[in-house]
Amino acid sequence: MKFLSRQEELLLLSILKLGKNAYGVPIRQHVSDVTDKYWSIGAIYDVLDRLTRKGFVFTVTGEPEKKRGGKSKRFYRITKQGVRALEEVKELQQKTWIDISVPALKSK
Amino acid sequence: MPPPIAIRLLKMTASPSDYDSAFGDLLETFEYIAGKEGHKKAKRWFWKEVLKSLLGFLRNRTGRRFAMIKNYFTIALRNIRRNKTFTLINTLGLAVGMACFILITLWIQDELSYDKFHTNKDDLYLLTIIHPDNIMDPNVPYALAPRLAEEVPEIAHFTRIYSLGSIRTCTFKYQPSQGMPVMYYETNVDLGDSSFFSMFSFPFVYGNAQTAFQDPHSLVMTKRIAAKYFGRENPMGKTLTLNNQEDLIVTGVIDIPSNSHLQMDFIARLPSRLDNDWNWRDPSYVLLKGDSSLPDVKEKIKGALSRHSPYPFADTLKVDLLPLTKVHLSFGRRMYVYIFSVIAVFVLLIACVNYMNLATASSSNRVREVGLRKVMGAKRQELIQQFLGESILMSAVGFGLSLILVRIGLPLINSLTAKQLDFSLLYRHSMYLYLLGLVLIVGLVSGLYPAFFLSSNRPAETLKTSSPFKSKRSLFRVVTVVGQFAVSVLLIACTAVVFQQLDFIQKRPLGFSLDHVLKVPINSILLNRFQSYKNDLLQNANILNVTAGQAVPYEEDYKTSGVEWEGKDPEMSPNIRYSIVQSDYMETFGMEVLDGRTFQSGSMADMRNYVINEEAAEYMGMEDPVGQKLVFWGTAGTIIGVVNNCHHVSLHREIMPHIYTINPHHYNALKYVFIKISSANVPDTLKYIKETSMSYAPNFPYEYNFIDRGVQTLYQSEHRLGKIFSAFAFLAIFISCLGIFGLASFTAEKRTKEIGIRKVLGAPVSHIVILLSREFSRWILLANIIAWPIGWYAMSKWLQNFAYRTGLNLLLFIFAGLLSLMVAALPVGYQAVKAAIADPVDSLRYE
Repeated sequence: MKFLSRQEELLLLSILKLGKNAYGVPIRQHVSDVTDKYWSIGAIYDVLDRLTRKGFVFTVTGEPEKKRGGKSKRFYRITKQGVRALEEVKELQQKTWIDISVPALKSK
Repeated sequence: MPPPIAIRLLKMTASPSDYDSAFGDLLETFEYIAGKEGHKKAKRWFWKEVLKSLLGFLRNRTGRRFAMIKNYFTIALRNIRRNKTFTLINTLGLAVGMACFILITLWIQDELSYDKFHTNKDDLYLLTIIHPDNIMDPNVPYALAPRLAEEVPEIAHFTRIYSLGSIRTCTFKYQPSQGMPVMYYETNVDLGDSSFFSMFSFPFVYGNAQTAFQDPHSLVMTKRIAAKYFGRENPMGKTLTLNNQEDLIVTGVIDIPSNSHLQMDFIARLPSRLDNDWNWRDPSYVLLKGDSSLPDVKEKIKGALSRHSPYPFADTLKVDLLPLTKVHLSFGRRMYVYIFSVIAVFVLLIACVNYMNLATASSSNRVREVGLRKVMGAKRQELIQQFLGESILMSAVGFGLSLILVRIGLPLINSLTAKQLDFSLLYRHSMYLYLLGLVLIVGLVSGLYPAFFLSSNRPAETLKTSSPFKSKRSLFRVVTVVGQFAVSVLLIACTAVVFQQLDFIQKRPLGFSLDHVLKVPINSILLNRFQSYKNDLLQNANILNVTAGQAVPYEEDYKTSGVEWEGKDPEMSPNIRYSIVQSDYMETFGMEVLDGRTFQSGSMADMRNYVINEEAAEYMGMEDPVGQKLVFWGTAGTIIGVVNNCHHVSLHREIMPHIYTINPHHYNALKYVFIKISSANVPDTLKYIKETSMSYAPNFPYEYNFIDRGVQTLYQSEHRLGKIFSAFAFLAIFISCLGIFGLASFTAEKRTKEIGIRKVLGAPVSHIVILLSREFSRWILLANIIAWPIGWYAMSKWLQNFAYRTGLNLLLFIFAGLLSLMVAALPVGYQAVKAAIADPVDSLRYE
């Protein structure tokens, strides 16, 4: 079983969180906020395309907008497989962290 | 709107499906930032964003195809390994072509960099005079610049140059506190106005620009000269004596960059008496105020000569300005920059064409690969990308090799062009980009045609038949090979014509003889006591003649209009060369007296008399010139003799009417003693001359030169051109031969079976060799037919630079053609013979 990468997980979660408004600009905003790092649009699209190919998300094209130079938004929605994949990594995370307490980490 | 170039970059990098929405996203954010932080900041952000996204987008695009790219690479390497000869020919050709191109680029860059180091470079101008025939004269009267500075407020500073060293002999003497004085003759001595160093920014080794010219007795010299006189001592404040008369104090040492058109060894202050001197020999420069309008200034100065100068013909002359940075290329050199740019591109093109031809010719090997790829679903675009990638790979390998060649070739180019180009010139950011561009462009140009050609095959056809290669004669290949050889023939023919003209120049009688004549620079003592010095010299039986003159006889380019004669049209402004000489001048140089006599040594009457040349007699319309009256610079006298026409200037220019005078009023102009010696016992004679000269002028330096050696320097640039042309001709034909070698081996290979069958049926070897080389000979003949008229036209243009020139000879062109045919016959013949003597059993075995 291949698990989601950290990047893919991050993006899937932000798409989930943003709900109906999940397109390029807010996704990047959110990811940048959470990670406190600069994400270029190219880096975001690289991962989004991968997620689309793997079938974890699907895209919905919006109406063309004037303030976007006549280009339409591309919204991302999570698929059932996407949700499954997220559940898998969450489960994995919990299992692997189960016996490790914060003081144990700090003592190292 | 965001910057359009960035948008285009985005379009190139983002995959088509991503582009629209990514662009929308970026635009949305862009508008947001522009609204909040301003347009400028948003633009910068957009650029940063596009550049940062580059990697992500590219990874996105290529990630899926990485395996494919790896496969392309493997195939490319396999092909390289399989076709070692062709790889070698291609890389070698590309390397030589690119090395040539890079070397010429360095040369051109140096040519274009002239005078750009001055801080004021954009406001500095050379004053020029435009003659009625549109010829630009870089020299202006000394009195012009001060007049203009008074009249035109836009002129902030001006400086004139007075080339003292070319007008008088100069000696400099340094007397150290103890020991012998250091003294030398110097020719490169200039005078300039006090503003010289505030206009030009020459880097100072000692002293600085502000203090260098404060004192009227200041002297600034170059680093090299300072070392010659003072060794390692600090020269500042030391005294140098000019011509044993005037003490000058060293106030600065400068280092003149080699890319400055102003090159002098010494520069001292110019005396103010020149403010009313309308003589016309040297350049003047002006510095305009930063905000002045050039057309306005030009309009103001246009008619200055007719307003101020005493010249009657001043109305026809226009004063003009030439930007300093253009001066170097404006007087004849620009043509060379053009010629070499064209040659650089052509040599590179020849190399690219080789690649194209070999790649298409060898396409039979790749046709099945292409067919299979197509069947497996490869798109044409992807195939094109694959083949372009291969050619770029080859071009990169060739580039690496070319850097080694450049390294080897630089000293050669430096000696040919008298420059100091250095390999480190390539280590610059702009250069990196340029070289990267070169690799890509060479790769694309050479790969584009093969890529389209190969990817156009139809898979069904290529996979079906047993022999996929249809031997159709490619028009493209014929055109390119013919083109290659046309360029080669052209260069060979040009080289031959240049050398023929040089030969013509060297063999043409100049009208005087320079054999065993030596020159000794004159100084005030030798000048004042010339007669007794001459008599003392003539005591020695091996010294045949002694005279003096203002320059060596082949550089006597002094012109005047101050001549009057009987029957002259009063409106006419004559243009006549003159020589100020001493008696025995004609005898020393073995000139031919056609009529009358020459100057008599010691004759007072002859001081006012003149000798003219044949041309002058004709120019002045005199049937019987001897005995006629002539006024030269206000001194009336009689013509006593006519001599033959001599080439007193290089053969670029015409023989003009010429007047010789020995008037002592003009003796200040004398610069050299000329001594003709016999060929017997030369060392002793030289010793005698040295001792006699030293005994007369012990306080002056002594040096001598045989003048016949200097003639060659008149044609230095032609000699260089000849050498450079032959180098390029060699390279061009070398690369062309590489190409034709590859093609010939391919045709031979393609026809292996045919040759085998022919041999079995009894064809002799000679028959087969002819069969294989016939086609190539036809191409080369066609190349000749194309190259000849172009070469003929170009070289007749070039020859027009010379007033005296050799005729264009059809034989030279035939020679160039035969040479190209012979050189091409080597590789073709080799391949043909190899194919012809092969055992037919081998070639037919697999049937």
